[in-house]
Amino acid sequence: MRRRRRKIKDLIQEQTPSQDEVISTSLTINKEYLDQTPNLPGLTVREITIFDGRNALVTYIDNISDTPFISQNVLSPLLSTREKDRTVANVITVPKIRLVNKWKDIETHLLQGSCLLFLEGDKDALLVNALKTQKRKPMEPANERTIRGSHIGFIESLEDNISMLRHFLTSDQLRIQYTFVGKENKTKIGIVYLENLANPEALEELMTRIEGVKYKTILDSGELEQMIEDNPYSIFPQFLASERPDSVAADLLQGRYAIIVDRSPSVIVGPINFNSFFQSIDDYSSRWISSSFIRILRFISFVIAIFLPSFYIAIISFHYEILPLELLLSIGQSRREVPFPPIIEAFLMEFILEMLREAGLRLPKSIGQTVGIVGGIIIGQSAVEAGIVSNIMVIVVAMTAISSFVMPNPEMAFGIRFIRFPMMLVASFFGMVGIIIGFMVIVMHLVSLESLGTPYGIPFGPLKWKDLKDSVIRFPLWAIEKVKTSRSN
Amino acid sequence: MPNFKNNTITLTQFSLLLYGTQSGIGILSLPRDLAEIGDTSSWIALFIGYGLSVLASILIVQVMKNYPGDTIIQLFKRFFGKWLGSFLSVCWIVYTTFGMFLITVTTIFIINTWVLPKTAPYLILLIITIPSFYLARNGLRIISRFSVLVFLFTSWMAILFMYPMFTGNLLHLLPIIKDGIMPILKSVPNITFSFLGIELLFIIYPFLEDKSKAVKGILIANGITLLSYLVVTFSSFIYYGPYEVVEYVWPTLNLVKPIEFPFLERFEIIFLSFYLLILATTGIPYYFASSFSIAQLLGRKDHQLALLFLLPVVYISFFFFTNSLTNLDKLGNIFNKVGLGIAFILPVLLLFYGWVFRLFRREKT
Repeated sequence: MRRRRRKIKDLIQEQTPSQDEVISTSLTINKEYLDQTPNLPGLTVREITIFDGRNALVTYIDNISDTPFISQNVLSPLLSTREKDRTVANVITVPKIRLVNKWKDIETHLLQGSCLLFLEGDKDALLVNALKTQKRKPMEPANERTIRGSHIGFIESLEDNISMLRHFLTSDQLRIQYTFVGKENKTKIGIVYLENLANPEALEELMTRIEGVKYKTILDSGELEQMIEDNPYSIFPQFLASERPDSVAADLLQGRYAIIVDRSPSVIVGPINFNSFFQSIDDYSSRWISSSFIRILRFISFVIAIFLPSFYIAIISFHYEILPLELLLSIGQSRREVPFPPIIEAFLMEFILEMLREAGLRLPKSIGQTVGIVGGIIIGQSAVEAGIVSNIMVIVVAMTAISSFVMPNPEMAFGIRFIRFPMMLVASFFGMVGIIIGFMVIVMHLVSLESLGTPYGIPFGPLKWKDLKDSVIRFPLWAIEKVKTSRSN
Repeated sequence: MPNFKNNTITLTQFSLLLYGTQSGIGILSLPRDLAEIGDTSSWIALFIGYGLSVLASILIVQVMKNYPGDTIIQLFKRFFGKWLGSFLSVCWIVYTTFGMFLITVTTIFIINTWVLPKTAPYLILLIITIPSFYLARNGLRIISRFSVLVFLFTSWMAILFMYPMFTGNLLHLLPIIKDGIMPILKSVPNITFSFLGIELLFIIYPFLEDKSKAVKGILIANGITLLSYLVVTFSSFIYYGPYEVVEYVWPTLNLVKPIEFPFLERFEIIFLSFYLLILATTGIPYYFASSFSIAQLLGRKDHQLALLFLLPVVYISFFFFTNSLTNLDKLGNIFNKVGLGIAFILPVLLLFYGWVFRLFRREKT
C-alpha cells in the first residue's frame, strides 16, 4: 500500500518539476513548468532571441507588473544591443538585478510583480523588480488638518512613508527595522525610531509582541494595533494613529516608535500616553498662550463630553435642590410636558445624535446636508414641540456633541462618546455619587493602563513635573524640555 | 515571596499615600472632638499629636529598616516563629479589615444622610466596592498613583475650607490657654486617633523605592495632615465659635454649607461627592493591606483572591450592622483604641524585641 502510494507520488514528480526544485538549464522545460503551474494566473511568457544569439524567456504577470517599464528597460536593450561581447546583466538598464534559481522563490517574486529572464544554458534566472503600484498623491489627511504646518500626508506605501519621515528627520540616529506579520499573506512592516532617544526595553517588548501575532492577514495598521496593544479590554486607544509625517516625526523626537504597515496610510505610534491625545501638531507652531488656551478648551470639552448628560440626569432626578430657584423653574417648565424620566430622554437624544453622526460620516456631501436638516430641524425642534424631549435636553446633547468633536484624535473621541452612556446609567441610579464613582473608575483605569510597558497616565498618573509643562498648559518652547519617555513609577 | 521590584513607589507617592490613609474620617469630626475637651486652645494639641505621630512612624521605620523587603507578616514570622507569628498576623489582618469596614460604613452613612437619603445602604455598599476592588487589584503602585492624583484633584477643597475663616469672628479663638495646659493634654489622645493611618507603614514601607528617604516622606505626610487639620479646626472655631462646634456631628462638613454660588445652591452635595475620592484613598489602602497580608500569610503572590474573599466578609458584616451614629461611634472608639496600640505601642515593643532578638542571635552564631 505504502509502496504504491510512493510510486504514484514519484510518477507525479517525474511529470512536473515540484516547487522545491531548481530551474532547468533548458528553456523548454522551464516554459513547460510555467505553462502548467496553477499558481500564476495571468502570466505572460515571451520567447525572444537576444543580442548574443541565445534564446531567452521573459516572464511577468500582466496586471501587477509595469509593462512599459519592462519593454523599455529589459526587452529593448536585450533586443537592440549591437555589441555582442557584453553580458546580459550589463545590458539591462535597471539599478538592481538579482539571481534566483528555485521555483518557489520565482513564484513568490512573480506574484510580487517582478519580471524574470530565463536564459538558455544558465542555471539562474535574472530577476528585475517591476512592480506596478497605484499611488495617490500625498495629500493632507482629511481628519487631521492643521491651520499651520505642513500639508503632506502618508500614502499606501511603506517605502514612500519612510521617505517622507526621513525628509523631516535627517539625523544619523534614525533606525529602521523591517519585519513581516501575517501567517498567510505576509505584510511588511517597518519600525522607525531614533536610537539615541528611544527606550530599548520598549523596542524589545514591541518586537516580541509583533512576532507573537497569530493572524492570517494584516490589511491595515488598525488590525496590527489591536494585536499588539497592552489591554485589549480598554476603551482608550493605546497607540496613536496618525497620517501626518510631521506629527509622527515629532513623536519620534520624543523617543517613541513609529510602526508603519505597508499599504496602510495611518502610522501607529507608541508608547503613548493619555496626554498626547489632547495635543495637535500645530499647538507647537502657534504662540504658546493661544495654544495653551486651546489645550484648556480641549480638557474642558473632555469633561463636558463625558459628564454633562449624566450631570443633567443626576440633578434632575436626585439633586434638584442644588439649582437656584429660577433655573429650577425654567427647567421644570420645559420638562412639564415630557412624559419620560430624564434617563430615557437622555438616552433617546444621545442615540439619535450618534446615529446622525454615523449616517453623515459615509454619505456623499450632497446627501449629508439632508441629514443635517433632518437632524437639526425635525429631531431638534419638532421633538421639543411634540413634548418628547425638553429644551434643556436638546441643549445638553448639542453641547456634548460639539465637545466630543473638539478632540483632535478620532479614536479618543470615540472612547469619550462611549463612556458617557454607562455614566448616564450610574447617574440615574446614584446621582452625584454615581458620577463620582464613575469618575473614580475612569481615573483608576487610566492610572493602571500601560502602553508598551510605559505608564499611560504620564504626566498625571505617575506625576512627572517636567512633563507637566507640556500638558494642560503648553509652556513656551524654550521652557519645554522634551525628555525620554521611560518605564517609571 | 512578593515581588516589590516592579511595584516600588517614589517619595511623592509614598508621602501622599500615607497622607491619604491619615486624613479621611478623622477630619470630619475633629473640630468637635477638640472643642469638647480642650476648648479654644485645643488646637495646640494638634502639634503634640503631630509630634507623637511622627515619632511613632519613625519607630515603625526603625523596626522595618533592619529587614528591608519584609512586611509586618514576615516580620512576625521571623520574630515569633510560625505559630505565634501567624496568630499575630491574623490579628493584624483582622485589624486592617476592621479599619476598611469602618471607613466603608462611615462612607455609606455620610452618603445616606447627606446626598442620597432615599437609596438603600446596601446598594451604596455595592457601588462603592466596585472601584475599591478595581483599584486594590492593581497593587500598591497604582493605588499610590491614584492617591497622588486625588490629592491634586481635591486640593481646591482646602481653599473652600478656608473661606469661612474670613467671614467668622477671630475673637472666638481667644482666650488662648485659659485653664492651663491640662485640657490641652487631655485632648491629645483624641487627636492621635486622627493621625492613625501611619500603622499601614508596616505594609507600605517595603515598597518604598529609596528607603533612606522614608523619614522625609513621613514628615511630609504628617505635615500635610497637620496643615489640613489646622485649616479645618481654625475655620470651624472662627466660624462657629467653640460652643457651637460641639452641636454638630461633623462640623467639617457643615463648614461647606454656607458656601453658595449664583448658579449653585446647596453646594455641599457636590462637595461631599468629591469627598468620596478622599475617603477612597483612606479606605482602599486598608483594603489592600488586609488582602495583601492574607496573601502573604498564605504564601501566595497574588492578592486578588484575598480581595474577592474580603468582599463577602464585608457584605455579611454589613448585613448584621445597623448603621447609626451611636454604632459608628462605638465602632470608631474600638478602632481608635486598637489602632493606638498598633501604631504607638507595637513599634516600641517590636523595636525592643528586635534588638534583643538580634543580640541573642548574634551570640548564638
